[in-house]
Amino acid sequence: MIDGELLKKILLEVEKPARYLGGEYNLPDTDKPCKERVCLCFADKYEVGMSNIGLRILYHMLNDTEGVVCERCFAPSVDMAEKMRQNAIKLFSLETRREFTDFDIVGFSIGFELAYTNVLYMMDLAGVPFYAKDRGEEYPLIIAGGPCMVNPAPIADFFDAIMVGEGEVNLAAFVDLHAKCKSEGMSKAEFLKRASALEGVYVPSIGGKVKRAVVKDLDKAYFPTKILVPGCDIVHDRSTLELFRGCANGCRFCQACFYYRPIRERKTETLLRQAKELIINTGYEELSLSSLSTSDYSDLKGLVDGLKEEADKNNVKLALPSLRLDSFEAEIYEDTKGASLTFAPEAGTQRLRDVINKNVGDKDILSSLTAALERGVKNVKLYFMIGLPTETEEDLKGIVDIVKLVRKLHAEKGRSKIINIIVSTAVFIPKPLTPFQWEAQISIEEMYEKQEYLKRELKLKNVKYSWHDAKSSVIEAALARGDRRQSAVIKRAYETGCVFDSWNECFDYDKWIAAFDHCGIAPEEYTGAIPLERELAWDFIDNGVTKDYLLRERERAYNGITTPNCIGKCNGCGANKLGRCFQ
Amino acid sequence: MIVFRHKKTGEAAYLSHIYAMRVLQRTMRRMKAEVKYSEGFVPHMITYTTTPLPLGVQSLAEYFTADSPLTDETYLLERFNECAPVGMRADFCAVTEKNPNLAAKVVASAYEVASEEKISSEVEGILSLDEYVMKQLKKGVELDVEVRKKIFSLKAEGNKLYMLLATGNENLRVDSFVQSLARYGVKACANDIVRIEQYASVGGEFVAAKEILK
Repeated sequence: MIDGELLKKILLEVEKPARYLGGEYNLPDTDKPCKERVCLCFADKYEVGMSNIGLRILYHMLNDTEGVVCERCFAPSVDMAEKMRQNAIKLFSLETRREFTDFDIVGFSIGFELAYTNVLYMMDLAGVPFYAKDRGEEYPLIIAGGPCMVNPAPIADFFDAIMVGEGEVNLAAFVDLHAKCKSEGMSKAEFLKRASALEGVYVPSIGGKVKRAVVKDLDKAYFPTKILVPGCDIVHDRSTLELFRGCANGCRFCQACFYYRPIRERKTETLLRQAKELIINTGYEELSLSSLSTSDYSDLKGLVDGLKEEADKNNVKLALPSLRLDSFEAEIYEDTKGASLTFAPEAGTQRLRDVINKNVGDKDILSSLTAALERGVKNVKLYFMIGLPTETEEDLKGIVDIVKLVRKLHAEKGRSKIINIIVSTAVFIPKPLTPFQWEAQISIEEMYEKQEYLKRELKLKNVKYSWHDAKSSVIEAALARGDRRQSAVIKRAYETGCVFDSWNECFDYDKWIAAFDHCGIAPEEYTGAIPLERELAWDFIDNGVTKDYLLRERERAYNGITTPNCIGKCNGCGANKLGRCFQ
Repeated sequence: MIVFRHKKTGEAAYLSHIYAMRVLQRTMRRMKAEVKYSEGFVPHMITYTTTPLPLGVQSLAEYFTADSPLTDETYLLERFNECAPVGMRADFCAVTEKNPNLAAKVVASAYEVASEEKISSEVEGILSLDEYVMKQLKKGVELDVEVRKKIFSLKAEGNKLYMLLATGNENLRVDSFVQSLARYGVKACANDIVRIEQYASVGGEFVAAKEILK
């Protein structure tokens, strides 16, 4: 355990000391007798990690398991890291201020490729070797999970084991097995051999194929309602209900849509009970809903009505996420007193929306916007992507046309005096497990060109345009489809100063390019088009959705054919072999 | 109105005033206590506190007032402690008809400082000076400020220093003052300072804030 007296002194010299203290309301009993002590790490700052619903579920699930204590650790800010190094304080858990070596298992949740260097940053601060092969029995098992495990190849060498899929299944089994093997005095290597047979557990030193683990019955799955309530600000400082996992829409660029399949819902009565408990247990002022497409929840009206009643009774604000354009329900919107509306048409023309399978028509856009403006919406946020496969100048112009349409509609039918339109564009990043996983990313020059065009054309009154950084999109794309050779690049990037790469002010493109150069690898190898017949770095993972299905979808994209939402009829993506869709 | 005297110790000492206020308001919500809200577009709970503490300074006597019609002091105190984080539990609750406006009434605070080294009794000599100038940061600039009239008492006992300093409108920032005492052997950081009680002035006498609520 680290020196608490020393810590309290350095905390006075760093920004937001509450990040490093724990002590939140609803803390579980971490002093209970335990056979397994686990530390769950999030490779970003406290305020980001504490907002992560996956980490929240697993933390409470493990602490509610007999004989298991789970603690938390987040990436300290650079100012804190400097103080820790100056005072020889190693990275510590928030609950009992233990170092990594005091744990049986240290698990990293990684949700974003640009967090890879943060993993090494945390390992470095903890004083543990980066590569699994260099960590002997004196070190804990260091494992990883989270959405990035759709392709764990670039970081596989850093971990003893990779949790592919949902932690309620594989992490729970992994921890349980380790407790048994530890009591039998088994070595790390022997344990890992046993663990590699578990569903959704991949051991890089052993290799082989792995099938993604999924929760079969989401309605009965563990969901914590006595959650930690931080004292300081976090990104999503509110209670959150998880409506369902998976998405039926099949937008062809979207990894989450395919990764989280099969589609599984929680029942309305379960969600209402959880909401009630969350409101009582947390004291939060706001309750939000989480899913990939809330509009598709089978009983949205019934759920919102029930939640609204409970929320009103307790002075809680019900925050609805952005509703999909084609199912925008004005009634629900009006009831929740929203003053802004978020739409994500993703592409400017119907042709390109058909290519990406964003099943939203021009008519839907028109009717939804009209309904919203007639009800007095003052802020409209529009999200688009640039650089999508087959994109032309016409498609970019289409973005401008939609913005102009909002202005025109407001002038004609808007109830509010003013309108603020916020337009945001991201750069298309070809991601594994999508029909566009073989596509090329546009060059950095093209990204700038397209952004410049939009900057010019969107210089309109009451319109604000923001765009995603082109350079970080290139590195994200290279890492997303990376292979085992990239661990050396990530290590080099970290050693030359890359950390908190997902924070714009910290990202250093030149250092990343130098790291690729140093390792004799060109980022273009990963950002360019991939021949369809080439074996992919993530082919060893059975994610449910088959490669054949993705290829079929890709072909349909190039032919401009849409694939309907699979709620009514199964499109045969293959995910239902992991678990039943639509409970 | 209900008034709680609560502590702010351990991890809670590192919560800024605005975060601490939010923690207390969420405590009231968990209590399911009936509290009045403002009537604007975004209603907020109507609550009051006294002068904020510098970050890291601990306290055994923070006062938090909520606009509520509830009257059962014993029950409220029990519920508050069930619903508050460990470092912010209360030891006193009073029900008043009107807002006691403690922020305006509190004029002094008693502090205890735990120094790493033995403190020279010469520190008490400050009380016989006409002036006492110390460094204080104001808007990022370090200034010399004269604060003698804001120091009401000083007592050194071994490694401990007991002080009564001005609080409220004529506030003396306690962590800056403690830093200025290094020459007397006071070696302590903000977290080594504990506010023991807050006082109002009644007929020229210092009276503990909780006493004026009775």
